[in-house]
Amino acid sequence: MAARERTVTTMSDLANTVMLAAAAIVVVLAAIVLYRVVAGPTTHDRVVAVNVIGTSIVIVLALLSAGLDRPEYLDIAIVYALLNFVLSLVVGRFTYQSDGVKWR
Amino acid sequence: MSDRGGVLVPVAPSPTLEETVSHAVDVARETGGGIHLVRTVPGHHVGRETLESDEQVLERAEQRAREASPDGFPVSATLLGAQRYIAGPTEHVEYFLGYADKHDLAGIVVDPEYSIDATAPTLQSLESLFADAGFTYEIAPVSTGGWRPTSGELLRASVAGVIAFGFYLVLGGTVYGFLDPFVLGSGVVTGLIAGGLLRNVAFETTPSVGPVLSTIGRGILFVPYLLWEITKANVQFAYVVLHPRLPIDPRLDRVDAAVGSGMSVTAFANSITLTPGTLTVDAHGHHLLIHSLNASAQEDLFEGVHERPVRYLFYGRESLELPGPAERGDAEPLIGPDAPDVVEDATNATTTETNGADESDGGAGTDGDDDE
Amino acid sequence: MTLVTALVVLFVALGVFFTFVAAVGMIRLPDVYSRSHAATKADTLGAGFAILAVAVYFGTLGEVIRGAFLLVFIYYTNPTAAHAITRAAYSRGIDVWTTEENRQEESR
Repeated sequence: MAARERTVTTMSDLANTVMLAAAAIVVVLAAIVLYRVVAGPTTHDRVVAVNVIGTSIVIVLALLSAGLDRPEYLDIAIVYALLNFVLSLVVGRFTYQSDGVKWR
Repeated sequence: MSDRGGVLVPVAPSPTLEETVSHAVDVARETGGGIHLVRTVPGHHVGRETLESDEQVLERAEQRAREASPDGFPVSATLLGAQRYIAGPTEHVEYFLGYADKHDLAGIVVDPEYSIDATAPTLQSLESLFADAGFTYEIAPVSTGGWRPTSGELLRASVAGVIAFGFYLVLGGTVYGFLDPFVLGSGVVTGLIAGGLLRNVAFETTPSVGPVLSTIGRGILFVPYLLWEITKANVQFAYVVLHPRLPIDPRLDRVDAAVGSGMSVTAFANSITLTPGTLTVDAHGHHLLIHSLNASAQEDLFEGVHERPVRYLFYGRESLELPGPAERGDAEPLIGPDAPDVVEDATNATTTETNGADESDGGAGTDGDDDE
Repeated sequence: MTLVTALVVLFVALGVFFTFVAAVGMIRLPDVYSRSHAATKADTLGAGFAILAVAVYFGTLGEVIRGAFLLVFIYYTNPTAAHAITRAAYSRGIDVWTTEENRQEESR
Protein backbone atom coordinates (compact mmCIF):
# COMPACT_ATOMS: atom_id res chain seq x y z
CA MET A 1 0.00 0.00 0.00
CA ALA A 2 2.71 2.45 1.02
CA ALA A 3 4.85 1.59 -1.99
CA ARG A 4 1.96 2.16 -4.32
CA GLU A 5 1.27 5.58 -2.86
CA ARG A 6 4.87 6.69 -3.24
CA THR A 7 5.18 5.74 -6.90
CA VAL A 8 1.95 7.36 -8.00
CA THR A 9 2.01 10.43 -5.78
CA THR A 10 1.26 13.13 -8.35
CA MET A 11 -1.60 11.28 -10.07
CA SER A 12 -3.07 10.18 -6.77
CA ASP A 13 -3.04 13.77 -5.55
CA LEU A 14 -5.18 14.83 -8.47
CA ALA A 15 -7.66 11.96 -7.90
CA ASN A 16 -7.77 12.75 -4.18
CA THR A 17 -8.48 16.40 -4.82
CA VAL A 18 -11.21 15.55 -7.32
CA MET A 19 -12.80 13.16 -4.84
CA LEU A 20 -12.78 15.72 -2.03
CA ALA A 21 -14.13 18.48 -4.27
CA ALA A 22 -16.89 16.19 -5.50
CA ALA A 23 -17.74 15.30 -1.91
CA ALA A 24 -18.05 19.00 -1.11
CA ILE A 25 -20.36 19.55 -4.10
CA VAL A 26 -22.56 16.61 -3.10
CA VAL A 27 -22.84 18.05 0.42
CA VAL A 28 -24.04 21.33 -1.09
CA LEU A 29 -26.57 19.42 -3.24
CA ALA A 30 -27.80 17.60 -0.14
CA ALA A 31 -28.29 20.97 1.53
CA ILE A 32 -30.40 22.07 -1.46
CA VAL A 33 -32.56 18.95 -1.10
CA LEU A 34 -33.01 19.93 2.55
CA TYR A 35 -35.38 22.60 1.20
CA ARG A 36 -37.78 19.81 0.25
CA VAL A 37 -37.56 18.36 3.76
CA VAL A 38 -38.54 21.74 5.22
CA ALA A 39 -41.13 22.68 2.58
CA GLY A 40 -42.93 19.33 2.39
CA PRO A 41 -45.86 19.64 1.77
CA THR A 42 -46.61 16.03 2.82
CA THR A 43 -44.77 13.65 5.13
CA HIS A 44 -44.02 11.47 2.14
CA ASP A 45 -42.32 14.31 0.28
CA ARG A 46 -40.13 14.84 3.30
CA VAL A 47 -39.24 11.16 3.58
CA VAL A 48 -38.38 10.93 -0.12
CA ALA A 49 -36.14 13.98 0.36
CA VAL A 50 -34.51 12.46 3.46
CA ASN A 51 -33.93 9.31 1.43
CA VAL A 52 -32.19 11.32 -1.29
CA ILE A 53 -30.05 13.05 1.34
CA GLY A 54 -29.20 9.64 2.81
CA THR A 55 -28.04 8.38 -0.58
CA SER A 56 -26.02 11.58 -0.97
CA ILE A 57 -24.34 10.89 2.36
CA VAL A 58 -23.47 7.38 1.18
CA ILE A 59 -21.89 8.98 -1.91
CA VAL A 60 -20.00 11.47 0.30
CA LEU A 61 -18.71 8.67 2.54
CA ALA A 62 -17.54 6.68 -0.48
CA LEU A 63 -15.85 9.73 -2.01
CA LEU A 64 -14.19 10.62 1.31
CA SER A 65 -12.88 7.08 1.72
CA ALA A 66 -11.06 7.49 -1.59
CA GLY A 67 -10.16 11.14 -1.08
CA LEU A 68 -8.62 10.53 2.34
CA ASP A 69 -7.35 7.01 1.52
CA ARG A 70 -9.40 5.49 4.33
CA PRO A 71 -10.91 2.30 2.86
CA GLU A 72 -12.68 1.50 6.14
CA TYR A 73 -15.12 4.35 5.47
CA LEU A 74 -16.70 2.09 2.84
CA ASP A 75 -17.94 -0.17 5.65
CA ILE A 76 -19.59 2.84 7.26
CA ALA A 77 -21.17 3.69 3.90
CA ILE A 78 -22.65 0.17 3.71
CA VAL A 79 -24.15 0.45 7.18
CA TYR A 80 -25.49 3.91 6.40
CA ALA A 81 -27.14 2.68 3.20
CA LEU A 82 -28.80 -0.07 5.23
CA LEU A 83 -30.13 2.37 7.84
CA ASN A 84 -31.36 4.70 5.12
CA PHE A 85 -33.32 1.86 3.55
CA VAL A 86 -34.82 0.76 6.86
CA LEU A 87 -35.92 4.33 7.60
CA SER A 88 -37.91 4.55 4.36
CA LEU A 89 -39.44 1.12 4.85
CA VAL A 90 -40.53 1.89 8.39
CA VAL A 91 -42.11 5.23 7.49
CA GLY A 92 -43.78 3.68 4.46
CA ARG A 93 -45.04 0.82 6.56
CA PHE A 94 -46.49 2.91 9.37
CA THR A 95 -48.17 5.47 7.14
CA TYR A 96 -49.79 2.86 4.89
CA GLN A 97 -53.54 2.46 4.99
CA SER A 98 -54.41 -0.88 3.49
CA ASP A 99 -58.03 0.05 2.79
CA GLY A 100 -57.11 3.32 1.13
CA VAL A 101 -55.95 1.93 -2.21
CA LYS A 102 -58.38 2.23 -5.10
CA TRP A 103 -57.56 -0.43 -7.67
CA ARG A 104 -60.19 0.48 -10.16
CA MET B 1 -73.06 -25.90 -6.06
CA SER B 2 -73.93 -24.83 -2.56
CA ASP B 3 -72.80 -27.20 0.14
CA ARG B 4 -73.90 -25.88 3.49
CA GLY B 5 -71.89 -27.34 6.30
CA GLY B 6 -69.07 -28.33 4.01
CA VAL B 7 -65.46 -28.04 5.12
CA LEU B 8 -62.57 -26.61 3.13
CA VAL B 9 -59.11 -28.15 3.54
CA PRO B 10 -56.13 -26.36 1.98
CA VAL B 11 -53.83 -29.06 0.67
CA ALA B 12 -50.05 -28.92 0.58
CA PRO B 13 -47.47 -31.66 0.81
CA SER B 14 -46.84 -32.13 4.51
CA PRO B 15 -46.27 -35.08 6.85
CA THR B 16 -49.53 -34.44 8.68
CA LEU B 17 -51.74 -34.08 5.61
CA GLU B 18 -53.42 -37.49 6.03
CA GLU B 19 -54.29 -36.91 9.66
CA THR B 20 -55.66 -33.47 8.89
CA VAL B 21 -57.88 -34.88 6.17
CA SER B 22 -59.21 -37.55 8.55
CA HIS B 23 -59.98 -34.89 11.13
CA ALA B 24 -61.69 -32.70 8.55
CA VAL B 25 -63.89 -35.64 7.54
CA ASP B 26 -65.00 -35.97 11.18
CA VAL B 27 -65.77 -32.26 11.35
CA ALA B 28 -67.69 -32.35 8.09
CA ARG B 29 -69.81 -35.29 9.25
CA GLU B 30 -70.75 -33.34 12.38
CA THR B 31 -71.70 -30.19 10.48
CA GLY B 32 -73.49 -32.26 7.87
CA GLY B 33 -71.60 -31.30 4.73
CA GLY B 34 -69.00 -32.62 2.36
CA ILE B 35 -65.27 -32.15 2.35
CA HIS B 36 -63.53 -29.95 -0.16
CA LEU B 37 -59.84 -30.49 -0.76
CA VAL B 38 -58.31 -27.48 -2.49
CA ARG B 39 -54.76 -27.07 -3.68
CA THR B 40 -53.60 -23.73 -5.06
CA VAL B 41 -50.67 -23.74 -7.40
CA PRO B 42 -48.52 -20.71 -8.08
CA GLY B 43 -48.75 -19.41 -11.61
CA HIS B 44 -45.33 -20.63 -12.68
CA HIS B 45 -47.25 -23.29 -14.53
CA VAL B 46 -48.85 -21.16 -17.19
CA GLY B 47 -47.78 -22.74 -20.45
CA ARG B 48 -45.88 -25.52 -18.73
CA GLU B 49 -46.63 -29.12 -17.88
CA THR B 50 -45.33 -29.43 -14.34
CA LEU B 51 -48.61 -29.94 -12.53
CA GLU B 52 -48.01 -33.65 -11.94
CA SER B 53 -46.67 -33.40 -8.42
CA ASP B 54 -49.50 -31.08 -7.40
CA GLU B 55 -52.06 -33.52 -8.79
CA GLN B 56 -50.40 -36.37 -6.92
CA VAL B 57 -50.62 -34.52 -3.61
CA LEU B 58 -54.27 -33.84 -4.24
CA GLU B 59 -54.94 -37.47 -5.20
CA ARG B 60 -53.24 -38.65 -2.04
CA ALA B 61 -55.47 -36.40 0.07
CA GLU B 62 -58.57 -37.45 -1.82
CA GLN B 63 -57.80 -41.13 -1.40
CA ARG B 64 -57.33 -40.63 2.30
CA ALA B 65 -60.63 -38.76 2.56
CA ARG B 66 -62.48 -41.61 0.85
CA GLU B 67 -60.87 -44.17 3.15
CA ALA B 68 -61.80 -42.21 6.25
CA SER B 69 -65.41 -41.61 5.27
CA PRO B 70 -68.44 -43.83 4.66
CA ASP B 71 -69.52 -44.63 1.10
CA GLY B 72 -71.33 -41.86 -0.68
CA PHE B 73 -69.76 -39.14 1.44
CA PRO B 74 -69.20 -36.11 -0.76
CA VAL B 75 -65.51 -35.54 -1.39
CA SER B 76 -64.31 -33.01 -3.90
CA ALA B 77 -60.77 -32.18 -4.88
CA THR B 78 -59.90 -29.06 -6.83
CA LEU B 79 -56.77 -27.53 -8.22
CA LEU B 80 -56.98 -23.74 -8.34
CA GLY B 81 -54.92 -21.14 -10.10
CA ALA B 82 -53.20 -23.34 -12.69
CA GLN B 83 -54.11 -20.94 -15.49
CA ARG B 84 -53.37 -17.78 -13.53
CA TYR B 85 -50.36 -15.95 -12.30
CA ILE B 86 -50.37 -15.90 -8.52
CA ALA B 87 -47.74 -14.02 -6.58
CA GLY B 88 -47.81 -13.84 -2.84
CA PRO B 89 -49.64 -15.64 -0.06
CA THR B 90 -52.64 -13.28 0.02
CA GLU B 91 -53.59 -14.27 -3.49
CA HIS B 92 -53.59 -17.93 -2.52
CA VAL B 93 -55.84 -17.06 0.41
CA GLU B 94 -58.14 -15.14 -1.92
CA TYR B 95 -58.58 -18.29 -3.97
CA PHE B 96 -59.55 -20.23 -0.87
CA LEU B 97 -61.98 -17.55 0.26
CA GLY B 98 -63.51 -17.28 -3.23
CA TYR B 99 -63.97 -21.03 -3.34
CA ALA B 100 -65.48 -21.14 0.15
CA ASP B 101 -67.85 -18.29 -0.73
CA LYS B 102 -68.97 -19.92 -3.93
CA HIS B 103 -69.74 -23.23 -2.28
CA ASP B 104 -71.15 -21.63 0.84
CA LEU B 105 -68.84 -23.63 3.08
CA ALA B 106 -69.12 -23.48 6.85
CA GLY B 107 -65.55 -23.81 7.97
CA ILE B 108 -61.93 -24.28 7.12
CA VAL B 109 -59.64 -26.89 8.62
CA VAL B 110 -55.97 -25.98 8.37
CA ASP B 111 -53.10 -28.42 8.54
CA PRO B 112 -50.69 -27.14 11.20
CA GLU B 113 -47.83 -27.93 8.81
CA TYR B 114 -49.54 -26.25 5.87
CA SER B 115 -47.43 -23.76 3.99
CA ILE B 116 -48.11 -22.16 0.64
CA ASP B 117 -44.55 -22.49 -0.52
CA ALA B 118 -41.20 -22.74 1.17
CA THR B 119 -41.81 -19.72 3.37
CA ALA B 120 -42.90 -20.15 6.95
CA PRO B 121 -46.68 -19.91 7.31
CA THR B 122 -46.28 -17.65 10.33
CA LEU B 123 -44.91 -14.87 8.13
CA GLN B 124 -48.33 -14.20 6.67
CA SER B 125 -50.76 -15.54 9.17
CA LEU B 126 -53.30 -17.64 7.32
CA GLU B 127 -55.45 -17.86 10.39
CA SER B 128 -55.90 -14.13 10.75
CA LEU B 129 -56.74 -13.78 7.06
CA PHE B 130 -59.40 -16.48 7.32
CA ALA B 131 -60.75 -15.02 10.55
CA ASP B 132 -60.95 -11.54 9.02
CA ALA B 133 -63.07 -12.89 6.21
CA GLY B 134 -65.55 -14.25 8.74
CA PHE B 135 -64.89 -17.98 8.42
CA THR B 136 -64.63 -20.35 11.31
CA TYR B 137 -61.29 -21.96 10.89
CA GLU B 138 -59.71 -24.65 12.92
CA ILE B 139 -56.21 -25.99 13.16
CA ALA B 140 -56.38 -29.75 12.94
CA PRO B 141 -55.36 -31.33 16.28
CA VAL B 142 -52.80 -33.71 14.86
CA SER B 143 -49.61 -34.86 16.47
CA THR B 144 -46.78 -33.20 14.63
CA GLY B 145 -44.42 -35.64 16.26
CA GLY B 146 -41.98 -33.05 17.51
CA TRP B 147 -39.85 -30.97 15.20
CA ARG B 148 -37.97 -32.79 12.49
CA PRO B 149 -36.35 -30.90 9.65
CA THR B 150 -37.52 -31.99 6.23
CA SER B 151 -35.04 -32.53 3.43
CA GLY B 152 -36.18 -29.30 1.79
CA GLU B 153 -35.59 -27.40 5.00
CA LEU B 154 -32.08 -28.85 5.34
CA LEU B 155 -31.27 -27.94 1.76
CA ARG B 156 -32.53 -24.38 2.19
CA ALA B 157 -30.66 -24.04 5.50
CA SER B 158 -27.39 -25.19 3.95
CA VAL B 159 -27.74 -22.95 0.89
CA ALA B 160 -28.50 -19.92 3.09
CA GLY B 161 -25.64 -20.88 5.44
CA VAL B 162 -23.10 -21.28 2.64
CA ILE B 163 -24.09 -17.94 1.11
CA ALA B 164 -23.83 -16.21 4.50
CA PHE B 165 -20.44 -17.83 5.14
CA GLY B 166 -19.15 -16.81 1.72
CA PHE B 167 -20.28 -13.25 2.26
CA TYR B 168 -18.71 -13.10 5.72
CA LEU B 169 -15.48 -14.50 4.34
CA VAL B 170 -15.39 -11.97 1.52
CA LEU B 171 -15.83 -9.00 3.86
CA GLY B 172 -13.64 -10.31 6.69
CA GLY B 173 -11.06 -12.12 4.58
CA THR B 174 -10.06 -9.09 2.56
CA VAL B 175 -9.12 -7.29 5.78
CA TYR B 176 -7.68 -10.01 8.01
CA GLY B 177 -6.65 -12.62 5.43
CA PHE B 178 -8.74 -15.50 4.13
CA LEU B 179 -6.99 -18.17 6.20
CA ASP B 180 -7.17 -16.34 9.51
CA PRO B 181 -8.57 -18.84 12.03
CA PHE B 182 -10.76 -16.25 13.73
CA VAL B 183 -12.35 -15.23 10.44
CA LEU B 184 -12.98 -18.85 9.46
CA GLY B 185 -14.28 -19.85 12.89
CA SER B 186 -16.62 -16.94 13.41
CA GLY B 187 -17.69 -17.26 9.78
CA VAL B 188 -18.77 -20.87 10.29
CA VAL B 189 -20.75 -19.86 13.37
CA THR B 190 -22.38 -17.00 11.46
CA GLY B 191 -23.23 -19.32 8.59
CA LEU B 192 -24.83 -21.86 10.93
CA ILE B 193 -26.92 -19.20 12.67
CA ALA B 194 -28.00 -17.61 9.39
CA GLY B 195 -28.87 -20.97 7.84
CA GLY B 196 -30.84 -22.06 10.89
CA LEU B 197 -32.81 -18.85 11.18
CA LEU B 198 -33.41 -18.16 7.50
CA ARG B 199 -34.24 -21.65 6.23
CA ASN B 200 -37.95 -20.83 5.95
CA VAL B 201 -37.57 -17.15 5.19
CA ALA B 202 -34.90 -16.68 2.55
CA PHE B 203 -36.42 -18.75 -0.25
CA GLU B 204 -39.85 -18.87 -1.80
CA THR B 205 -39.38 -22.36 -3.15
CA THR B 206 -36.74 -24.95 -2.40
CA PRO B 207 -33.97 -24.11 -4.85
CA SER B 208 -33.00 -26.76 -7.37
CA VAL B 209 -29.82 -26.72 -9.40
CA GLY B 210 -31.19 -26.57 -12.96
CA PRO B 211 -33.52 -23.55 -12.82
CA VAL B 212 -31.20 -21.62 -10.49
CA LEU B 213 -28.21 -22.07 -12.80
CA SER B 214 -30.17 -21.10 -15.91
CA THR B 215 -31.60 -18.06 -14.11
CA ILE B 216 -28.09 -17.01 -13.10
CA GLY B 217 -26.93 -17.61 -16.67
CA ARG B 218 -29.69 -15.44 -18.09
CA GLY B 219 -29.03 -12.91 -15.33
CA ILE B 220 -25.55 -12.38 -16.79
CA LEU B 221 -27.31 -11.20 -19.97
CA PHE B 222 -30.02 -9.35 -18.05
CA VAL B 223 -27.81 -7.16 -15.85
CA PRO B 224 -25.92 -5.32 -18.64
CA TYR B 225 -29.23 -4.81 -20.45
CA LEU B 226 -30.75 -3.38 -17.27
CA LEU B 227 -27.74 -1.12 -16.67
CA TRP B 228 -28.00 0.17 -20.22
CA GLU B 229 -31.72 0.84 -19.78
CA ILE B 230 -31.03 2.63 -16.49
CA THR B 231 -28.44 4.87 -18.12
CA LYS B 232 -30.84 5.65 -20.96
CA ALA B 233 -33.58 6.37 -18.43
CA ASN B 234 -31.37 8.81 -16.63
CA VAL B 235 -30.34 10.72 -19.73
CA GLN B 236 -34.03 11.15 -20.61
CA PHE B 237 -34.84 12.06 -17.03
CA ALA B 238 -32.02 14.61 -16.89
CA TYR B 239 -33.35 16.18 -20.10
CA VAL B 240 -36.89 16.42 -18.71
CA VAL B 241 -35.83 17.82 -15.36
CA LEU B 242 -33.34 20.36 -16.68
CA HIS B 243 -35.64 21.51 -19.50
CA PRO B 244 -36.88 25.04 -18.67
CA ARG B 245 -40.56 24.16 -19.29
CA LEU B 246 -40.46 20.84 -17.41
CA PRO B 247 -42.26 18.77 -20.11
CA ILE B 248 -43.99 16.16 -17.96
CA ASP B 249 -47.43 14.66 -18.34
CA PRO B 250 -47.84 12.18 -15.51
CA ARG B 251 -50.36 9.37 -15.40
CA LEU B 252 -51.14 6.34 -13.27
CA ASP B 253 -51.97 2.92 -14.69
CA ARG B 254 -52.69 -0.56 -13.49
CA VAL B 255 -50.76 -3.39 -15.07
CA ASP B 256 -51.11 -7.08 -14.29
CA ALA B 257 -47.69 -8.63 -14.56
CA ALA B 258 -47.46 -12.00 -16.26
CA VAL B 259 -44.99 -13.30 -13.72
CA GLY B 260 -45.82 -15.66 -10.93
CA SER B 261 -43.68 -15.43 -7.83
CA GLY B 262 -42.67 -12.89 -5.25
CA MET B 263 -39.11 -12.81 -6.55
CA SER B 264 -40.04 -12.19 -10.17
CA VAL B 265 -42.68 -9.59 -9.27
CA THR B 266 -40.07 -7.78 -7.18
CA ALA B 267 -37.58 -7.89 -10.03
CA PHE B 268 -40.25 -6.63 -12.41
CA ALA B 269 -41.39 -3.83 -10.10
CA ASN B 270 -37.84 -2.69 -9.39
CA SER B 271 -36.76 -2.74 -13.02
CA ILE B 272 -39.87 -0.69 -13.84
CA THR B 273 -38.85 1.80 -11.20
CA LEU B 274 -35.29 2.03 -12.49
CA THR B 275 -36.10 2.30 -16.21
CA PRO B 276 -37.42 5.20 -18.30
CA GLY B 277 -40.08 7.35 -16.72
CA THR B 278 -41.94 4.69 -14.79
CA LEU B 279 -42.32 4.06 -11.07
CA THR B 280 -44.11 1.26 -9.23
CA VAL B 281 -46.48 2.81 -6.71
CA ASP B 282 -48.27 -0.20 -5.27
CA ALA B 283 -48.29 -3.93 -5.71
CA HIS B 284 -50.95 -6.37 -4.72
CA GLY B 285 -49.97 -9.83 -5.83
CA HIS B 286 -49.23 -9.49 -9.52
CA HIS B 287 -51.31 -6.32 -9.92
CA LEU B 288 -49.05 -3.29 -10.08
CA LEU B 289 -49.90 0.40 -9.93
CA ILE B 290 -47.44 2.29 -12.10
CA HIS B 291 -46.81 6.02 -12.29
CA SER B 292 -45.44 7.19 -15.64
CA LEU B 293 -43.81 10.55 -16.14
CA ASN B 294 -44.89 10.96 -19.78
CA ALA B 295 -46.75 9.28 -22.64
CA SER B 296 -43.83 7.46 -24.24
CA ALA B 297 -42.96 5.80 -20.94
CA GLN B 298 -46.52 4.57 -20.67
CA GLU B 299 -46.44 3.17 -24.22
CA ASP B 300 -43.26 1.24 -23.49
CA LEU B 301 -44.85 -0.17 -20.39
CA PHE B 302 -48.02 -1.27 -22.18
CA GLU B 303 -46.07 -2.89 -24.99
CA GLY B 304 -44.20 -5.01 -22.48
CA VAL B 305 -40.75 -3.49 -22.90
CA HIS B 306 -40.06 -3.98 -19.18
CA GLU B 307 -41.93 -7.21 -18.75
CA ARG B 308 -40.25 -9.22 -21.48
CA PRO B 309 -36.69 -9.15 -20.05
CA VAL B 310 -37.94 -10.14 -16.60
CA ARG B 311 -39.94 -13.00 -18.07
CA TYR B 312 -36.84 -14.02 -20.02
CA LEU B 313 -34.82 -13.95 -16.80
CA PHE B 314 -37.14 -16.26 -14.89
CA TYR B 315 -38.83 -18.40 -17.53
CA GLY B 316 -36.46 -18.57 -20.48
CA ARG B 317 -36.63 -17.84 -24.14
CA GLU B 318 -40.06 -19.17 -25.08
CA SER B 319 -41.79 -16.67 -22.79
CA LEU B 320 -40.58 -13.81 -25.00
CA GLU B 321 -43.42 -14.46 -27.41
CA LEU B 322 -46.13 -13.45 -24.97
CA PRO B 323 -47.88 -10.25 -26.08
CA GLY B 324 -47.49 -7.08 -24.01
CA PRO B 325 -49.88 -6.14 -21.18
CA ALA B 326 -52.02 -3.86 -23.39
CA GLU B 327 -52.62 -6.60 -25.95
CA ARG B 328 -53.51 -9.10 -23.27
CA GLY B 329 -55.97 -6.66 -21.71
CA ASP B 330 -53.91 -6.57 -18.53
CA ALA B 331 -53.34 -2.82 -18.56
CA GLU B 332 -55.73 -0.07 -17.60
CA PRO B 333 -55.22 3.69 -17.22
CA LEU B 334 -56.50 4.97 -13.88
CA ILE B 335 -55.50 8.63 -13.59
CA GLY B 336 -54.23 10.91 -16.32
CA PRO B 337 -55.01 11.93 -19.91
CA ASP B 338 -56.09 8.42 -21.02
CA ALA B 339 -58.18 7.57 -18.02
CA PRO B 340 -61.84 6.92 -18.70
CA ASP B 341 -64.50 8.98 -16.93
CA VAL B 342 -65.06 7.77 -13.43
CA VAL B 343 -68.77 7.01 -14.00
CA GLU B 344 -68.54 4.48 -16.81
CA ASP B 345 -65.33 3.07 -15.44
CA ALA B 346 -66.91 0.41 -13.27
CA THR B 347 -68.38 -1.81 -15.99
CA ASN B 348 -65.38 -2.70 -18.10
CA ALA B 349 -62.84 -2.65 -15.34
CA THR B 350 -64.01 -5.67 -13.38
CA THR B 351 -63.42 -8.19 -16.16
CA THR B 352 -59.74 -8.62 -15.45
CA GLU B 353 -60.22 -9.17 -11.76
CA THR B 354 -58.59 -12.22 -10.28
CA ASN B 355 -61.51 -14.12 -8.90
CA GLY B 356 -60.52 -17.50 -7.69
CA ALA B 357 -63.90 -19.12 -7.79
CA ASP B 358 -64.88 -18.13 -11.29
CA GLU B 359 -62.62 -20.07 -13.60
CA SER B 360 -61.44 -22.67 -11.21
CA ASP B 361 -63.59 -25.76 -11.35
CA GLY B 362 -62.16 -27.27 -14.47
CA GLY B 363 -59.13 -28.38 -12.47
CA ALA B 364 -57.96 -31.84 -11.63
CA GLY B 365 -60.80 -32.53 -9.27
CA THR B 366 -63.73 -34.85 -9.13
CA ASP B 367 -66.81 -33.09 -7.94
CA GLY B 368 -68.64 -35.02 -5.27
CA ASP B 369 -71.55 -32.67 -4.80
CA ASP B 370 -74.05 -34.80 -6.70
CA ASP B 371 -73.71 -37.71 -4.31
CA GLU B 372 -75.87 -36.11 -1.68
CA MET C 1 -2.60 11.99 -16.13
CA THR C 2 -2.92 8.24 -16.40
CA LEU C 3 -5.88 6.31 -17.74
CA VAL C 4 -6.98 5.31 -14.24
CA THR C 5 -7.04 8.91 -13.06
CA ALA C 6 -8.93 9.96 -16.18
CA LEU C 7 -11.52 7.23 -15.56
CA VAL C 8 -11.83 8.22 -11.91
CA VAL C 9 -12.35 11.88 -12.78
CA LEU C 10 -14.90 11.00 -15.49
CA PHE C 11 -16.91 8.74 -13.17
CA VAL C 12 -16.84 11.28 -10.35
CA ALA C 13 -18.04 13.99 -12.72
CA LEU C 14 -20.91 11.79 -13.96
CA GLY C 15 -21.82 10.87 -10.41
CA VAL C 16 -21.95 14.50 -9.33
CA PHE C 17 -23.95 15.41 -12.44
CA PHE C 18 -26.67 12.84 -11.79
CA THR C 19 -26.79 13.73 -8.10
CA PHE C 20 -27.28 17.31 -9.26
CA VAL C 21 -30.13 16.18 -11.54
CA ALA C 22 -31.71 14.39 -8.58
CA ALA C 23 -31.48 17.52 -6.42
CA VAL C 24 -32.98 19.72 -9.15
CA GLY C 25 -35.72 17.14 -9.68
CA MET C 26 -36.54 17.10 -5.99
CA ILE C 27 -37.02 20.87 -6.05
CA ARG C 28 -38.77 21.29 -9.42
CA LEU C 29 -41.09 18.31 -9.81
CA PRO C 30 -44.69 18.85 -8.72
CA ASP C 31 -45.76 15.89 -6.55
CA VAL C 32 -44.42 13.10 -4.38
CA TYR C 33 -44.72 10.50 -7.16
CA SER C 34 -42.71 12.40 -9.74
CA ARG C 35 -40.19 13.39 -7.06
CA SER C 36 -39.72 9.72 -6.36
CA HIS C 37 -38.64 9.36 -9.99
CA ALA C 38 -35.79 11.72 -9.13
CA ALA C 39 -34.98 9.82 -5.95
CA THR C 40 -34.83 6.43 -7.68
CA LYS C 41 -33.35 7.00 -11.10
CA ALA C 42 -30.99 9.96 -10.95
CA ASP C 43 -29.81 9.47 -7.39
CA THR C 44 -29.23 5.75 -7.90
CA LEU C 45 -27.17 6.29 -11.02
CA GLY C 46 -25.28 9.13 -9.34
CA ALA C 47 -24.36 6.83 -6.48
CA GLY C 48 -23.50 4.13 -9.01
CA PHE C 49 -20.95 6.31 -10.82
CA ALA C 50 -19.47 7.70 -7.60
CA ILE C 51 -18.95 4.23 -6.14
CA LEU C 52 -17.58 2.97 -9.44
CA ALA C 53 -15.03 5.81 -9.30
CA VAL C 54 -14.05 4.84 -5.75
CA ALA C 55 -13.69 1.16 -6.71
CA VAL C 56 -11.51 2.07 -9.70
CA TYR C 57 -9.45 4.39 -7.51
CA PHE C 58 -8.67 1.76 -4.87
CA GLY C 59 -8.42 -1.17 -7.26
CA THR C 60 -7.84 -3.60 -4.38
CA LEU C 61 -9.96 -6.73 -3.93
CA GLY C 62 -11.56 -5.82 -0.62
CA GLU C 63 -12.60 -2.33 -1.70
CA VAL C 64 -13.87 -3.48 -5.10
CA ILE C 65 -16.01 -6.14 -3.41
CA ARG C 66 -17.33 -3.64 -0.88
CA GLY C 67 -18.08 -1.19 -3.67
CA ALA C 68 -19.84 -3.87 -5.71
CA PHE C 69 -21.89 -4.85 -2.69
CA LEU C 70 -22.80 -1.24 -1.93
CA LEU C 71 -23.81 -0.80 -5.57
CA VAL C 72 -26.01 -3.90 -5.69
CA PHE C 73 -27.51 -2.90 -2.39
CA ILE C 74 -28.37 0.64 -3.47
CA TYR C 75 -29.77 -0.57 -6.79
CA TYR C 76 -32.02 -2.96 -4.97
CA THR C 77 -33.07 -0.84 -2.01
CA ASN C 78 -33.63 2.59 -3.57
CA PRO C 79 -36.52 1.49 -5.81
CA THR C 80 -37.95 -0.54 -2.94
CA ALA C 81 -37.80 2.40 -0.55
CA ALA C 82 -39.39 4.74 -3.09
CA HIS C 83 -42.06 2.14 -3.69
CA ALA C 84 -42.78 1.85 0.04
CA ILE C 85 -43.21 5.60 0.38
CA THR C 86 -45.29 6.24 -2.76
CA ARG C 87 -47.43 3.26 -1.82
CA ALA C 88 -48.10 4.80 1.58
CA ALA C 89 -48.73 8.19 -0.06
CA TYR C 90 -51.20 6.67 -2.52
CA SER C 91 -53.01 4.79 0.21
CA ARG C 92 -53.39 8.08 2.07
CA GLY C 93 -55.16 9.51 -0.96
CA ILE C 94 -52.49 12.00 -1.98
CA ASP C 95 -53.45 13.19 -5.48
CA VAL C 96 -51.42 12.42 -8.55
CA TRP C 97 -50.46 15.64 -10.26
CA THR C 98 -51.56 15.75 -13.89
CA THR C 99 -51.29 18.40 -16.59
CA GLU C 100 -53.59 21.41 -16.42
CA GLU C 101 -55.92 20.53 -19.33
CA ASN C 102 -56.63 17.25 -17.65
CA ARG C 103 -57.34 18.97 -14.37
CA GLN C 104 -60.00 21.06 -16.11
CA GLU C 105 -61.52 18.01 -17.76
CA GLU C 106 -61.83 16.26 -14.47
CA SER C 107 -63.51 19.16 -12.75
CA ARG C 108 -66.14 19.45 -15.49
